[in-house]
Amino acid sequence: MKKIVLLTFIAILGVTLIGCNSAPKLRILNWGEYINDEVVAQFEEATGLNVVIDVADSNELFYSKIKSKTTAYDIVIPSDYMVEKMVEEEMLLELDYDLLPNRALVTYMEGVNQIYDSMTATTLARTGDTVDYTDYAVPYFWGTFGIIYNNRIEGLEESLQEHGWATYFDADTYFPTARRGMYDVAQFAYAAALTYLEENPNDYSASLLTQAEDVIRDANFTEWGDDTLKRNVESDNLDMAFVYTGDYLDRLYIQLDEGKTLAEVQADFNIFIPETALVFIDNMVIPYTSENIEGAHQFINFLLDPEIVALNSEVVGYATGLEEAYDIIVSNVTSEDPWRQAWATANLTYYNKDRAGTYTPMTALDPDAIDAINTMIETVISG
Amino acid sequence: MGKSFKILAIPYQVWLSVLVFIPLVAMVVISVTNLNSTVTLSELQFTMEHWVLLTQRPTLIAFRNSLIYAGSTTLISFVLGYFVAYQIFRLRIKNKFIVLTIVILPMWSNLILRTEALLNIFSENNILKSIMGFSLFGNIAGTPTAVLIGLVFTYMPFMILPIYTALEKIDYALEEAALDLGLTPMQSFWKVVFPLSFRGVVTGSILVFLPTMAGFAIPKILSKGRIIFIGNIIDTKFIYTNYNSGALLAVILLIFILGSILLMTRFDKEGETLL
Repeated sequence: MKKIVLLTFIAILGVTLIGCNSAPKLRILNWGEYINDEVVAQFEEATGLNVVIDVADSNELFYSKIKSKTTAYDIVIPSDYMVEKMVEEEMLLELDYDLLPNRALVTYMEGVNQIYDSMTATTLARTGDTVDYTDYAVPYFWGTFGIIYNNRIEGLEESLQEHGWATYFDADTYFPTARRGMYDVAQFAYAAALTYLEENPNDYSASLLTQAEDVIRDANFTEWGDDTLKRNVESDNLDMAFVYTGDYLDRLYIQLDEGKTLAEVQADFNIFIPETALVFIDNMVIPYTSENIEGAHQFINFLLDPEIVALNSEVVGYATGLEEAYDIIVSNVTSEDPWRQAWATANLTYYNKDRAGTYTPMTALDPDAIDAINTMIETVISG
Repeated sequence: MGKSFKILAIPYQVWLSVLVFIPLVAMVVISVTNLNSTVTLSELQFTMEHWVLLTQRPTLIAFRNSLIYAGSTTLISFVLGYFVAYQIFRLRIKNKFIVLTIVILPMWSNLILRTEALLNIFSENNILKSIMGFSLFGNIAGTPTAVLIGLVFTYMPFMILPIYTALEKIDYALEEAALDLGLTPMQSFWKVVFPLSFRGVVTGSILVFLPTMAGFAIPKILSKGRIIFIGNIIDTKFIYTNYNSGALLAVILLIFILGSILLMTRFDKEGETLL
């Protein structure tokens, strides 16, 4: 009996010690497959910090993980609306720009500034407070939403370019037999429908809800998915879906890796980004749970270095927030390496810095509105 | 001996009370109050405001879906599973263990992986088509059939194993006696073997019905998000930190489940085959 106890004790001790590393830790809560391991390695080497990354797959999970304080995260990478919510609930620390010397050396992309302005505007409209979100957040990646489409369907591309959102939503008029898919996030469906109706996607009222419901019902979606949408369009099992532009680039890069050319992939499936585009931005923020505030600033500063950001962009299919990093990426357009050349072309095509258009991020609607929208979508799905 | 066994039972009892009993109480409390992440205990109030949820169409349809699919899955698994269990029981080979291993073989791979694989071969353009040029399943992804196949495929082993155990426990002398006394093999099956194996059926039904009723991953994947189970609504409520509504639905689901267990245990008073 005593031996068993002793052995158990030794085993537990052993397991505990294996997990130990004497270097100070920096705990990051990130999305899955959303950072280049090489960036982490270089950061660890430069600072001597031991980076521990946990992943979660929704902003709501980020929120509840921070709120419950079960782990003292130093950096979290939530999207726009969640940053608004976290600021409102005083869950974030203000950034100390003295500790972020790289910030003065870089310029944010026009789209990024538009997004932060839009967030300030929606917050002002909702609460009457003026919040400068750059006080709390530094862009990690951003990107548009678009309509990924099956280019094997004759005429679909032309129709999207000519009629935009209507091709996707108005199933009676355009391509009635096309298989349409939507993200299974109720607010995305609602915001997309409002954008099609030329309303502000961040407004909420009972009448808008009814209008959106009609639009969504008429679109006759055959799939409510997530990562499945892009794969199904790619494999010719779906014809149109509202997705992140990064979803498309993700599949594109995989196919490029497999030796296809950009033109070949585009002939199979492509993405259309409407002029009034919905966008998102993921931001590096420091939650109030942070126990290594200095380390957190070091990390943010590190990711304000254009070279590092470009390196990070090699594995993540979203747009960089820094003009300098964008310039590095697109300079590869003359590269000998076909992958780098295609990578630069893709950024020029889908995330072009000079693209005209309005960018609206989705805001944090109040919980009752979210609940009503969820129920509306469930009603549509249930038939 | 008795004393040290008691002591060794303590860890699990602690585990059970900390991770099952207390959360259960919390769930019931949350379902009838305004308690959530922003409300502190001092502001705690009894409320039934969110109970309006129970009259909403999607909730009712989701409950209906869960019940119908769980019921159908149980029935189909019973009909198909009984034959399999009976065949294994009648097998004249020494090592039945190998056969049983084959039955549970699909469970050796991850549930989500298996379900995603099913979704792929149920799709119009699937891996079989790209390998062989044709597909056996046609285009059933996103349909109720796909969900049913997925559920039966996943939970059938839970039906087969208890039925097989129950069959093995039947004393062969009873069958011999039935045959001696003039029953045909068919009659002896219906009058002797089947009634004695019924406990296994009950256990198997519980093991299939419960996870199907409460589950949400398989229907979500195989219906392509078009068939909503009550588990999916609970999932959404918790994701959006609407704990009160989520807890309420979970409590109702629990009542359904307890009800069906009570109903079924009327046939299996000792709960023998559960062991």
